[in-house]
Amino acid sequence: MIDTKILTRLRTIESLAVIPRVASTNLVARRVVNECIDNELSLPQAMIVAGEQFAGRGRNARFWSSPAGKGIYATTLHTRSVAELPVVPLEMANILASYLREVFSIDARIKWPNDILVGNRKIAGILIEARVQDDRAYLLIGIGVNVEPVQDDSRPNAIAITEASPRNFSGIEDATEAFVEHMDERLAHPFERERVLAEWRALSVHKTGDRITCVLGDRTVSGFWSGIDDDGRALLRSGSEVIAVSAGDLMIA
Amino acid sequence: MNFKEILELIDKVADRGIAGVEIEQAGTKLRIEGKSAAPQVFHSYVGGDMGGGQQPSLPAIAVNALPPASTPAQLEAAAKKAEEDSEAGLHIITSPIVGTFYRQANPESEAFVNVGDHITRSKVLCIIEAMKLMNEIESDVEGTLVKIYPQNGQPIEYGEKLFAVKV
Repeated sequence: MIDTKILTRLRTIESLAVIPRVASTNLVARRVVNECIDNELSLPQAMIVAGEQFAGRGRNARFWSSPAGKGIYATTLHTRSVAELPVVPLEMANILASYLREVFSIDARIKWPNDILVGNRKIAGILIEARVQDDRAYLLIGIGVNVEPVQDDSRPNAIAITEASPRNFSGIEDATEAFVEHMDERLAHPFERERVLAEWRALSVHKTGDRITCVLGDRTVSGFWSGIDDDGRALLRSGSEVIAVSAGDLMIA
Repeated sequence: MNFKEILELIDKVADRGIAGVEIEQAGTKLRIEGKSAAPQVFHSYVGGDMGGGQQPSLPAIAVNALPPASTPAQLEAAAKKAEEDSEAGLHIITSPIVGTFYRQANPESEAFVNVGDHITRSKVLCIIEAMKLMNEIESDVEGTLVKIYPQNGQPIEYGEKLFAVKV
């Protein structure tokens, strides 16, 4: 487990909770948010890091394997202006991909809107919850990063840092500490739309003309990748039509 | 800008083949995209405007993302229905964003609210997901929930009716 003395070096994150075993870091964070809102307290800028999650979840309650010592499991409590909210999903992907690229020299790429892939295999996932009050958006940014491969992994398309990085790996504590510092440093900056979009486009796994299918509930839309627009929506070209997508699961053919 | 003026503007955009117009007035942003030049919107944000705690002053219709089937007549019917609800003394909670409507935090958990529940101000009523960001929508009034308009998992447009509350 990492040492909370790291806090003295952080600029944005004011509190750090390091917990050996939790159901999920997002659940713990949710209780903190509810407590603050119910009692009209300001939300702490904090990070909750768990050694292990026994009920880690991704989107749609999909199970996120979170065994001890095999991954980084963290939720960041962070407040932004409502105006920045639309680019939050893309900026979180930028932050996570840049962490893997800078610290581990991994060619991490982003699948729209914010899955992090190496090759076609998923190395990290993001689940963001937001609660808006007036002009403030209270964010719970849940992140899971595969650090070491898990035997009998139920995710055949998963990959871990130790498999993908050409560098010597110095242990999960160092990886977690670097993650906390990287998040902290990036969260200290404004989420300027143009910069966020440009960085996302540079890190995107998608190429113009890639065949894409988007599933939203019982609706399916297929087309060819045509980039993202200024609102971060995926643009799919289908015949003479361009369809802007802002929800659903994207699948690369 | 009142509802009639918005409808007239939609007609003008459609009739003249204009790519789109965007108007910002008194804190409300209205964007109307013509079908000919602009991309068809499958599901979209209203750029930058995601004030979940504040109800938009627009009527409860989707003007941001006009589906092909939305004719002015249908929009007028929707507005008429909203007026009827309003006349019945109900407070209508509409969606501040575009996304997918969920009644529960995840498929395994219970619904945030059910018809007949007494709800308080700031009570979370639903989640609207957009770009994998789960936006919790709160109640801005206290009262009894009398109607839930969308189905679970249904795509929602900006300004679409979500809940009716008897205050």
